[in-house]
Parts: sequence; structure tokens; C-alpha cells
Amino acid sequence: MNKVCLRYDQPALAYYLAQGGYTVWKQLINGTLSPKQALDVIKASGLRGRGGAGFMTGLKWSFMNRDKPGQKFLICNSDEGEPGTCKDTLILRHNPHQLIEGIAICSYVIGAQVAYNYLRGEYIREFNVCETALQEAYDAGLLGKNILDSNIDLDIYNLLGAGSYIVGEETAMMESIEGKRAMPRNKPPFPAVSGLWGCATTINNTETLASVPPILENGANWFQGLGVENSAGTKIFCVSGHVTNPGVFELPLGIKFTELLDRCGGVRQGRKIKALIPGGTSMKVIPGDQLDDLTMDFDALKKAGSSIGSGGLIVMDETTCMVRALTHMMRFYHEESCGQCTPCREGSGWVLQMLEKILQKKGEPDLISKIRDVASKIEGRTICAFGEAISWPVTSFIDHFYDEFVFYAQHGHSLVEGANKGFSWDTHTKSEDE
Amino acid sequence: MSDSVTLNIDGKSIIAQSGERLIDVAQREGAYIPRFCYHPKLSVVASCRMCLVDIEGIGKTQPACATLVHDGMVVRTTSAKAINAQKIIMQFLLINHPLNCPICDQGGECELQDTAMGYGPGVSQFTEDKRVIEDENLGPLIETDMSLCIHCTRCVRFGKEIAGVDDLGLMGRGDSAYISTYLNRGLKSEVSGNMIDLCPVGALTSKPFKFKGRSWGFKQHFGVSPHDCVGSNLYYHTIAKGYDHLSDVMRILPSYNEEINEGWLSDRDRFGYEGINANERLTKPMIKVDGQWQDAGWEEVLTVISQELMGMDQMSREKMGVWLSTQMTTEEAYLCQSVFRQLGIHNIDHRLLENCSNQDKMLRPYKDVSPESIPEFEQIVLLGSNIRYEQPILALQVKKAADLGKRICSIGAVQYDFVFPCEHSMVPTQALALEIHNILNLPEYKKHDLLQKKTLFVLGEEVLNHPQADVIKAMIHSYCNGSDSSYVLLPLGANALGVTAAGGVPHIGEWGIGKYHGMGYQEMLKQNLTTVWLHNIDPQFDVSDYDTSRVLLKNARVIAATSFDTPTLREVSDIMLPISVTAETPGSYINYMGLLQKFSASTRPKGDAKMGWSLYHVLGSLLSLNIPKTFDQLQDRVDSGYNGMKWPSISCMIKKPEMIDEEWMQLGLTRWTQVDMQIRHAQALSQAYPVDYANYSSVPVPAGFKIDDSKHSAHVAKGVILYERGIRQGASQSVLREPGDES
Repeated sequence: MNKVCLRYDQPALAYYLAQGGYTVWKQLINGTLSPKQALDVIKASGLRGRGGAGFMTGLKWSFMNRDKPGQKFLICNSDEGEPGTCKDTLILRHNPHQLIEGIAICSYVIGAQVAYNYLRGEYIREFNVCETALQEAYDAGLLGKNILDSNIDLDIYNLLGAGSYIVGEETAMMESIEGKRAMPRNKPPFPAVSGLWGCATTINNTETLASVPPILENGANWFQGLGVENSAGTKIFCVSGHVTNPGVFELPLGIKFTELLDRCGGVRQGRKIKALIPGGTSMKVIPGDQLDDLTMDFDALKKAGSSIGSGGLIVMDETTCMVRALTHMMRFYHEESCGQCTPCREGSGWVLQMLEKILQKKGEPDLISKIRDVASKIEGRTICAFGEAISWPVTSFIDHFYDEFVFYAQHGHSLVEGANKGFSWDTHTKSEDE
Repeated sequence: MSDSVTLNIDGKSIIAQSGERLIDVAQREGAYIPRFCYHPKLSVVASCRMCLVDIEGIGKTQPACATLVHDGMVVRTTSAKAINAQKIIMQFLLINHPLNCPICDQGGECELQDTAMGYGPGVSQFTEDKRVIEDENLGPLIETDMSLCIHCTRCVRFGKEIAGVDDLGLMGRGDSAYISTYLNRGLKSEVSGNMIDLCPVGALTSKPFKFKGRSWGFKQHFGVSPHDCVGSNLYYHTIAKGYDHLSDVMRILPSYNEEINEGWLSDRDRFGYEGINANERLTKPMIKVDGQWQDAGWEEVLTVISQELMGMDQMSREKMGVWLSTQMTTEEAYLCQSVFRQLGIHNIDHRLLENCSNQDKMLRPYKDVSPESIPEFEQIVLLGSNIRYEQPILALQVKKAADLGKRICSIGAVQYDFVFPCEHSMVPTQALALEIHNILNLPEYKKHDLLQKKTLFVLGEEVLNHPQADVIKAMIHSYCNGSDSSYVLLPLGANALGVTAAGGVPHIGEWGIGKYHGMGYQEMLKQNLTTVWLHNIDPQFDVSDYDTSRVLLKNARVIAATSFDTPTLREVSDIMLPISVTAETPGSYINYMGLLQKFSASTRPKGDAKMGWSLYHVLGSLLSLNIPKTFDQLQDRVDSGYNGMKWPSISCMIKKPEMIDEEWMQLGLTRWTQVDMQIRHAQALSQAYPVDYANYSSVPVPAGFKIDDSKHSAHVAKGVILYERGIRQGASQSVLREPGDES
């Protein structure tokens, strides 16, 4: 069912051209397709951002005034850092030219002459593939100065991050590209007004931009037809956790969760599913009993109290200790908080300290409501969405599995019999029973 | 920006200018929004989140500092939603903040403490371990307690945006983030003390002031900086010391004056107070009997002095010199010259650092170039001015201009180390006047293309003390006259202009009235004076030709009115009279633009010292001269006199200056922490900016010796021997090296 982003699996330019690649880009270059038309198709297709927030891509592009003089930038956000997500890596590794074409189309539509593809620090293999692909495109005259004698200039650069999680936040990425520390900026001003180096900037996810060429090739209706209402097209789902065959699937939005689970061979060892995190760890958890009729699209997941996020599904079976699972996630967020604004800087450490206290059998049952209270205080008061990323898992885990947390605090061990102790750099050498 | 908008804050309809920040508008309208990271002079980061307010139509609370007002905005700063958000932020800020208030120097003037009174809960929910962060050594001026830090980054932004020194930064991330220099080599900025004021908590406090007192125990007195000619406004904080109106100056804080120092102070102004309480203060009149110094009473010495002065004949009057300090108040200078002129003594001068033999060209203000107007010039030309250290507050304005993209050029013998980008043009002292003439007058001399822009010329120490200073001043004056360009003369000393106006010059009397035929300092040096009166002058530092003047003073009878007891004064003088420093006397200073600023005494003179003006007052009375009866009368006279001040005109006739025909020329400069006696005795400052002989790029060279080019610093023009005043003993000199100069 790999119809959009993962439709090709060979990174070479010759292969991509043989499949009819770069035709849309050439149409834009030679004028048979105007930027206005392209934008209208994207708008009509109902493509929504694939990075997590699900903002309408066409609307975002239309914030950029193409004819306004001055430098504009496009940034492709390939800093795929959300735990549980591994979709962009496949695009970058196997289908880089479709991404490059998407970047080129978007740049031309919004009027940018420079675009950056910012890859996460660990994606050195992907970086090398993209560099090769970029060089091929330059050599073929598809990028650079005066592309195909059209007087159109476009330069694309691949950048490699330094490994922080927060650089995936759009304004932090701009800081990083500017050579500063990746710390998010306060919004407003939004990037479309004042972004990279103070210029108007659009920033899109890799999957979003890679979806652009097929949409323009096949039309908005084709893309609409792939998905369901309000959730057009396909989405790459990365299923991990306690399933028999974890994997990455590009499937139409609106597919039933149970079907997705079947494609992974079901829950491992035939166990019962306990919970699902549908879109990377910063999204709210959905308990197992609400999953039967769940469809994977924006509206349904919103109704279920969560979000499709980046498409990183984490399946947890009945042997999972939710206290340890949450603590493990919080270690990550504590480590990755940038330290700039107060609620996140202080709150991430506080929440983690309290959770660790429970694991160390020093907790009181009323600590649980305090943890939830502190976490909810972070939400909505930070500079960037990292505050929500800390807050949502904590509040949803406690809301859905309150008894389990209280049990652990009261008894000093998990409610779940034989739960795996999990792994932590800090504690894996020490036995919990000591 | 000039459109006005109407918004509603807490139910009150308010008109504001579009582009204004909500936090400022609300404060102006009486709705104070708590804040930590926001400071009106710094960039906005909105990272503390304390100023979250409730804006109608927006779901989340918004930081008022980063929100610009717009028409129809409805803001609630005290709704449950806003207060709840602020309380939550307060809680987060307090969880890791040690409860050190009783033993913290910031206690009582701490923004966190104050805000916690309003927004903090009585009992902490936090029962976990608090964060501890290792302290950082930032040098002898700033004490750190980094565990108290709330990461507002005001200090970081000040360093970067205002001071131009990128030394501090935020290291680490998450709750282990901390402020550090990383390199651990301290903080070298001439305005670093402002970080103490900016720090909302006790993380950065004053090291010399550590554990010396509590803010609420002080009395605050307005003052004017006695160390540079900008006249920064400041407050002396004094603490009562037993009975009898005794008090000590405990610290100095800036006073907000948008036109002058914008709330900043240079380290020299801030930490100079240590000199007031130094052990070297002269507290008793002393007299030298048979080469031995003995304590004496005021009556005794004044009787001796008045009899000496009365018994002078015409010959000895012409052989008496009066050397004045540029730090004395206008009142002191006025009364002093009045006393001596009435006695027929006209050899009065304060321009002891000048090397120009034609001293008729006086200092004078030109156009009103206020500090805040400096960035409005399209180009700033620094003529022999190390402005960063000579006048740190003005240097901040030059930095601002540079940040706005204005062009900054520097012309002079030394390539100074500035905090802003600057085009240096190294010109040896010999050719400086000629070079300036060429730049101003030769159309084909396009090197600096000055003639096309609105330019500000800044004349600093090197030019004002240049042998051809008169010609240079006249050239610049005639160039600026009738054009958009302007110039400022920035002499050393707080009140050079005031002393000039009050008649502290040999050829013109007070307020430009009366012509006299006294000798200037350079002329006096060539004469054998029999008597010299020194007012707060230490010949080792405060005169241009120490070798000659030392011989002169040793052969003459020297009466020194001085605040400090120094070895040089003990060597050359015969009577020492203890007088006040600026903080201990009422008076007024006239800054470089001609602005007269009055201040009253903050504390009493130390020991038996007398206020400077009262010394001349008593002396005048003993000699039955016509002098004002009280200080108020004196000040009235100064006021009305200065109001009617007629500055002598500067002649615009310029002929092409000659190049000075010397293979090597000496250029003496004063270290910024040694400009006056009080500063020289401020301990922490001298430790913070030490004289570092080891790093001098040139070995001391005896005068008259042939100099080896290879030993010459690359930052000094060929043919110039740079030496620092004060450290020179006998004929040896050293090449001056400014702090922060790496090579």
C-alpha cells in the first residue's frame, strides 16, 4: 500500500527519473504549472502536516507572500526525534529525490531561493544518501543557478544536527541553523513573519514535503480518495513495542487500528493489549479497552483523547508496568529539556524526581496526585510545545492507570505480576530489591 | 510606530502606541506585571514566563513582555487565570531556589523575594533535593552564588547586547542548566558591575560589598560620578556609624537618568567608593619640619599659610603656581581661583596633562551632543580616544551606533581593543595633526570619505594632550561649524570643563570674564617657581612631565591640599592639608556637554579633613578677602555666573600643520583605574584591572635611547613610545597595555 512517500525504494536519480520523477518540478520551471495552481492543488488535497501538529499544509504555504521582495527560506524538518518514530529515515534513505522534488516545489511556490534539509544528528547514513542525491540533482541541472535556463535559482543544503531532541521544534531548528544553541523562540512572531535570520520562513516535515510531488502528479482528488474526511492521503505508521512483527507501514489514514495490529502479527505471545501511544511518546496514551473501533485518523484520535502525532505507535501489552514506562519516558524528557523557560526546566526534573521516588519505594499514595498536578501546571505555559510533551504523557498515564500508580506507591512494587524491570542507564546495574 | 491603539487592561481603556510592549504599557497604567527575564534595555526572550497574562480570545496565557499591544486587545492581569499562571511559575522558580534570604546579600532588594511575597505559597510542596551549582570566580568585583540563579539570562544578554562582551553564557540543559563563563578566566568588562543590578536574585552580588550591610539600613544620597566627564548619575548609600552624624559610604548604585547613563554605571564609578574609606586618607594637617612629617592643627597650619601668602611681594607672587585637579567641584575651583586672584596670583592651571605649549585654546562644549544622540550620527570618528576605558558610558552608545550599522573609525597612535567593529587607522603622534588636516581638507583624500556623512568626532586623551592639540581642536571646530557634523571633547577628570569655566585657567577669569597674564602649566614648568599650591594633585600620576615637575616641586615650597597621603606628596611637599573627596562635599560638576549637575554631601569628611570649599573659605576670611559668606551664596554665584558664561571663540583660521620632526615621541596615557586619587585607592578595582607588567609587549626603554623596532608593539604606531602614567620611575617607560588586549 506504499503509494505516496514510500512508493519508490531506490535512491538513484536515474531510477527516479525513469518512474517519471521531477516532471512536476519541470512543469513549474517551464511555466506549464503556475505556483498558484500548485498551491491550489495542495490546498484542495487536504494535506496536513505530518510532523505532529497536523496543520493544513496549503494554508501554511499561503502565509508566505510569494511576490513580496526579500529573502525567504524553506526548512525541511528531518530531525525525527520523537521516541517511537522512524518514518522519515525511510524516505531519506530510499526515496530522497522525491523529497528533493518536494522541497524544490515548495520553495518555488512560497518564493524561497534557499532551502535547508535539517537531519537529526544520528542520521549520518541518511545524510550521506541525501548528499549524493542532492549532488545528482545539481549535476542534472535540476537545482542551482538558472535551472534549465529558466532564470530560476534554488539552492538546497543538507544539514546535520548535533543530537538534541528540541531542535526538532521549528524555531529551535532556526536557531540551530543560525549557528546558535537550539532553543525555541517565543511565538509570535511566527516563522512565516520572522523566521530564519528574521526572514519569512516555512518549515515542513519530511513526510509532508515528500507527499507533494505525488499529489501534484495525480491530483487532489486522488489524494483525498486515499484517506477519509479531514484526513486525506496516507500516513507512515511506525509500530513498535509489544507486537510480533514491529514495522513501518504506509497506509491510508482512517485505517482501523486492529487492521494495523494484524499487519504486525498481533500482540506478542498472544497477550492482551494494555495501552497504545498513537503518535510518539509525547502524545496521550489510550487504554487497551478503547482500541477496538479506533480508526487511525486525525478526528478519531482526537475523539479518543489523543492525537496522531508523528505516527509512532507504541503498543504495550498486559505485562507492562505503567509506572516504570512513564518514568522511563520522563527520564528522556528531563534529559532533553533545553533549560530555557521555567516551567519545563524546573518541572521536568521535579516530575522525574517524584516518579523515581515511587520506584525507590519512598513514595506516598498522595504523591500521585501531586505528580499529576505538577505536570498539568507545565502545560500551556512554556515557550514551545515541549511543555505539552512532558505534561500529556504524565497526566494521561495517571488518569488511565491511577490505581496502578497508587498501588506502586503503597506497596513498593508493581501491580503487574512479573513486569519487566525495564532498562535505564542509571539503574540497570543496581537491583531494585536491594 | 506612531499609530495609537486603544486597548483594555483590567477594565480600563488605555491608549498606547502600536509597537509598545504590553508589559510596559500595563506598568505605565499602574498594573504592574511581575517579571524576571524582561528588562526594558535588553532583548526579549520570554523565558521566565512570570509575566503571563490573560488575553481575551487566546486560550493560553501569554507573556506580556513578548506581546505587542494592538487595537481592541482586552487584557486581564489579575484574572484567576493570570494569577494562577503566575503563581505556578513562582512555584517552579522557588522549588530549586535555596531559602537563603536571611544570609543572602540580595535580601531586602531581591526581585524574587519581593515577588514571592505576592505570588508564592506559604508552604512548599517540594520535598525533593534542591539543585546545587558550583560557584564561578568572576574576579574581584562580582561575587557569585550560582545555586540562587533563576536562569533569567539578563546577565548574558547584557554582556552580549550592551557591554559587547560575550563572556557569560547558559551551559547545560534542562534543570542542570547554569550560567558560566566556561573558560573560567573571569569577567573582563569595564561595565560588568551592572550585571549585579540586573540580577534579580542574589546569584551575582558585589564582592567588595559582601556581607557589609543591608539595603534597608542605608540612607540614599544623590551624587554625580567624580571619575569621568560624562557625569553619570548615581546614589551613594551610607550607613550611620554611631552618633555625631558619622557615616560611611557603603556602596554606589546607579541613578536612572535616560539622558546620561540610562541606569548603567561603569565599574570605575561603582567601585570607586572604596577609595573614600581607604587607609591612605589624610585625616590630619601635616607639616614637614626638618625633613620629618609632624601632625599639626588646622589653626597652626592656616596661620602659617596665610602669613606666607600675605607676606609675598610682587616677585614671589609671580613665582607662585596653583595646580588644580580636574576632580574638584565648580564651587571649589571658583573660590580657589578667587582667593588666589585677589592675592594677585594668576599662575593657575588645571591642564596639567597637556603637552601643547599654546594653552590659550580652552576646553569648551560645542553643540549639545548628549549620550543618547550619539547613535544618531552616521559615522563616529574616534580621534585618539580609547573611549571604552576613558568614558565607558559613552562607549556603550558608540556600541549601540555600531550595532545600528553606523561606521566607526579610530585615528591615533594606538590600535585600541574595542567591543565594537572599528576601522583603525594608525597614525604616529608626529603626523596626527597633519593627517587630520589632510582628511578634513583634501578632497582627493578619500580614504575616510568623511565629507559625505553626518559625523561625530570624539576627541580623547591622546589628542587633547597632543603637542598640537590647539591646531587639531581648531581644525575640527571649523570643519563642524556650519555643518551637520559635530564634535565632543572628552578630557580626563570629572570637571575639567567646570574648573575651566570657574576660572581655573591662567589667562581668563571666571565665567569668561576678565583677561589675565598668568602662566599656563607648560610655561610654569620652564620657570623656577618658589611656591606651588597643589589641589588634589599627585605629581606622579596627574601631570604630563613628571621628571621636570618633580625637580621643580622639590625645589619649591609646596602646599598640598589633598584627600590622600601619598609617597610622592610626602616627598615633594612641605605642608599637607586634608580635604574632602567628592562624596563628602556639596557642589556641582559640569559634564562634557556643559550640563551643570548639583549634588549635596553624602557623608562627612574623614577625620579632621575639611570640605574643599571651606578650606578656601577660611583662607579667604583669614586674608580678609571678598568671598561668599555661606555655601548657598557660593552656589548662587556659581549658578548665576555659569548661566551667563561666555565661552571664548575658537579661531577658525587654520594653516596646514607641520609634521613634528622627531624620530621617537613619547605618548603618556592614564590607565582608566588611575585617573584620580580616589580611584587609585579603590582596592577591588585595582585588583580587577591590575597593572600587568609581565604582559607588556615592550621592555622599559630609557629616554633618549635608540629603540629597537622589534620590541615595538604591533598595536602602537611606529615612532611612538607609549608609557603609562604613574608606573614610570625616573627615565624608564613601559608600553601601555589595555586590559583585554590579547597580543
